Amino acid sequence: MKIFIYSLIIAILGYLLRDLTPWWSIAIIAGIAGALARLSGIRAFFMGFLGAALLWGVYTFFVNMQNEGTLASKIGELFGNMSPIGLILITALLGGFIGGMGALTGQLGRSLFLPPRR
Amino acid sequence: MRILKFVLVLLFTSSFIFFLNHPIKKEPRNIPAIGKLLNPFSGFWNNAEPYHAESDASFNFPQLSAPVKVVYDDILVPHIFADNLSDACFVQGFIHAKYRLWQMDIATRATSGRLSEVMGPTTIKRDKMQRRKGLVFAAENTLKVWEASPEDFKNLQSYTEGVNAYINQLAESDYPIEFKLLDYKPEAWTNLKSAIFIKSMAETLCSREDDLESTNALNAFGKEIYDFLYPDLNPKQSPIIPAETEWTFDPLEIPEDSTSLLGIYQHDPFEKPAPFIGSNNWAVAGSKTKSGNPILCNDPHLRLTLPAIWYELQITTPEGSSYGVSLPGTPGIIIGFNEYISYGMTNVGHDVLDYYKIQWTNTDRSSYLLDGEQKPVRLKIETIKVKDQADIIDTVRYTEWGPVLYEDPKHPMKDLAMRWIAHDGGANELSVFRKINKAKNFEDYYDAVQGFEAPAQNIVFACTDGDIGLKVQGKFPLKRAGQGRFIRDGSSSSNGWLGFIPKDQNPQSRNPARGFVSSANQHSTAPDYPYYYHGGFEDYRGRALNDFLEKMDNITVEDMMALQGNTFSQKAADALPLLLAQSNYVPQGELEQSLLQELINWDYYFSKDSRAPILFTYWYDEFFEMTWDEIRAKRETLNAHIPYPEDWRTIALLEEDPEHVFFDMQSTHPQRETAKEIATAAFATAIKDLKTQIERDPDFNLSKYKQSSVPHLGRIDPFGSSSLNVGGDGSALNAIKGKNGPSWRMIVEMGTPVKAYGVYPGGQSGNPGSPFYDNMISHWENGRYYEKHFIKSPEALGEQTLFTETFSN
Repeated sequence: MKIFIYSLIIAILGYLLRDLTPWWSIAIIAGIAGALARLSGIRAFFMGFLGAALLWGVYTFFVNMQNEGTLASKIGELFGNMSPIGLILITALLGGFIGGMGALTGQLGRSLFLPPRR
Repeated sequence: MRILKFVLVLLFTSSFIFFLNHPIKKEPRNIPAIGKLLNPFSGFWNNAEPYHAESDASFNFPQLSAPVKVVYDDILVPHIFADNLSDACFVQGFIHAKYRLWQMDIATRATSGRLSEVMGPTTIKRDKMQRRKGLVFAAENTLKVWEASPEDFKNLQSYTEGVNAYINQLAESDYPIEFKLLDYKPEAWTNLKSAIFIKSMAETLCSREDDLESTNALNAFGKEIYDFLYPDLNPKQSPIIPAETEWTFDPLEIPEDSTSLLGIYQHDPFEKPAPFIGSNNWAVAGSKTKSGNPILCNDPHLRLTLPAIWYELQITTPEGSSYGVSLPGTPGIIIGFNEYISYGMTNVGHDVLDYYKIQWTNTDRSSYLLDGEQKPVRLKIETIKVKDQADIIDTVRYTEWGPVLYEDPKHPMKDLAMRWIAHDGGANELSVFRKINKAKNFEDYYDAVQGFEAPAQNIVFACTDGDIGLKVQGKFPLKRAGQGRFIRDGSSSSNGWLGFIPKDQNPQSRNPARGFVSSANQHSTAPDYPYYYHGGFEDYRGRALNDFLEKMDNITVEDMMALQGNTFSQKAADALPLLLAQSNYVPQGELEQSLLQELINWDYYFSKDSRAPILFTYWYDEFFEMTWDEIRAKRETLNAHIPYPEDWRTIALLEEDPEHVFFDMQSTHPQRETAKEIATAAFATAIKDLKTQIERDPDFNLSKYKQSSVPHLGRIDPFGSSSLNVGGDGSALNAIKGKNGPSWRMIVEMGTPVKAYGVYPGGQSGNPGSPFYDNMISHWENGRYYEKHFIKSPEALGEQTLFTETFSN
């Protein structure tokens, strides 16, 4: 449960800060969450992954829906005939990976000072 | 251990993000930074505009002298209401940038030879060529003329400020998608860039010549055969200005021409603008229309691109209200109408670019011979910036004639300098719109269009008071008979142009007895016009257009729409009966029989779902190739470019002398062919080719054969249109040909109020992620039009209002 709450917080913060920070700030947000959440490495990664993938995936899903797939289908052609849904998934995975790695970094940083709670 | 793990993961994460934030180097084009491009907030997703979500906006710009209101209609056409033209130009600049910023950037880069700066090494050759042609030099000269007219220059200044006002408030995440894909930033707009844009039109429309090829042909064949193959005048022509027009002026005296130059030029000619892209315009007098109002029509043909070259808008100031299409990059409206008059353009084919052979007087080519004296060249150092590479430095030599374009180290004595009308500062293009916006009659129109000199245009006119007219508007060199077809000796200034044709002696026609004026890129005049000119002219469309208009009466707007979409080919009507009379090919099998029958019954219309026009095209092209095998052979033996005779010349030869020795195939000697054998053999090849296509696809038809489409301006394929279902031919009024075609179709009925219809193959937004990117293509493809909202106040748009923008000062 805690993981999901933290993931949601990451997603919400990422959403609120999206226009004020560079695109990769989701890694830092997840990193801070990773440092605060007191999770094991794998769980921290999962938490960051979920939070960032949720934000990037859901956000682009709505963008694409409102755009009726117009631009994503054109960009998808540039990426070797990928469908808009495929592009949303790739975007979510990419965001997720960055978020996960950010969270893991945060978790490891914290573990320098405090042992993780099991 | 923990520290190591932490450091490793931190390093990995940050270098991964760094990697995603930078483009990947690759030839020929870098792969854009993946994270930058793919992320939801500043990447391409941010260019995916929501449908049906337009909302009102307001802006504050102290540059404005009074508030400006803009209402956008249902196809995103802005209607600008301003207190004065300067404010309107500011907002026009802002709006052009808002919808077409990348197009404006890339078009001026392409013209001025600055593509490599953002595209990398693949465009260096093109950039060098553009620098050689001196387009920025030309633009600087034009800017000086503009600056000399404070009133017009103020409007340009406002336009530039408007563009920059938009750029300055633009966040990186909102950059047009092409900037993101090519990974560069928009730069500030300048007045010079607007001048460069005007010069890009001159380059497209009035830089065509074939001096080098013609010189080779003259040398290869001798004068007699040259004159036989490449005559200046088609006797069947139907000129723009009615042949019965009398010239009421006293022409200037022109001396005889005496110079000639010999020598084969083995340079590869520079890439040239496509010939005969085809444009039409006409105006019919009230006496020929059902309503009694004059109707004006124009469809300028250009290379079709997305974003489209045109941007549609209405500009209203207390002085007048104009509607039409503008060129993103320049203020004002180029083709359109106001409450009293309408105007439209086609290109004039006169040759206004001549080459002069330069005689160097020293080996480093720093001076040349002119009138017995050594003249130093002016060196212009061109620095071409190249993305991710060292700059390239090129030196361009400027002579009295113009820049030296062709340079051949192997033949240093055959370097050629260019004398081009567009290098002259010339006229004040900016004044045209200022004057035409408030024009009320023929005299006002006549005065306004004086600002166009290059590219020269056939400017058609119609007025609510019943007047119609057409003026061949431009600055034309005064030449001796025959001058300008061949490369001339540049060591004597007497070989230059004699001056310019006085502007009031340019061909023109007002309210001719036949009840219409028209142009379709053909010869301006009948041979009795007192001045010599030469150039690229297309006669088939002009002949067909004049024939159609002659016969029409009780004309309606719908008739005019049909005429713009008309695919009748005069060329086919001339050539096919002659070819059929010559051929004795015996069809084999049912398919061949029915194809031949379709061709015999064909009405010469290039309809999209027919097959006969394909068979004709295959046949004619093959016949043409076989006829002119002598030209091809000469090209090979001399290793030099030689032009092919024109279509009309080929068809006239077939008509007049089918036994002529040119119909003999050189490869079959001693056998002697006539047009009969060639036509038969060519038909065999043509029908075989068509059969192969039909066997592959039973539904093969003209539109499939044509495969026309509207490609993206930067050749990003998915941003172009899909294949279009269209007919038409270069020799028909609806001259859709490959990726060229009617870039704007407009019909204006000059009643009260003025009613107008128009469409262009594109959309008002340059953003491939916008619903308004290519929304008008299907209307255009199907010959449909949008009725224009020519409104008197912002409120008048009513329910058609998409959203409103308020600009306050």
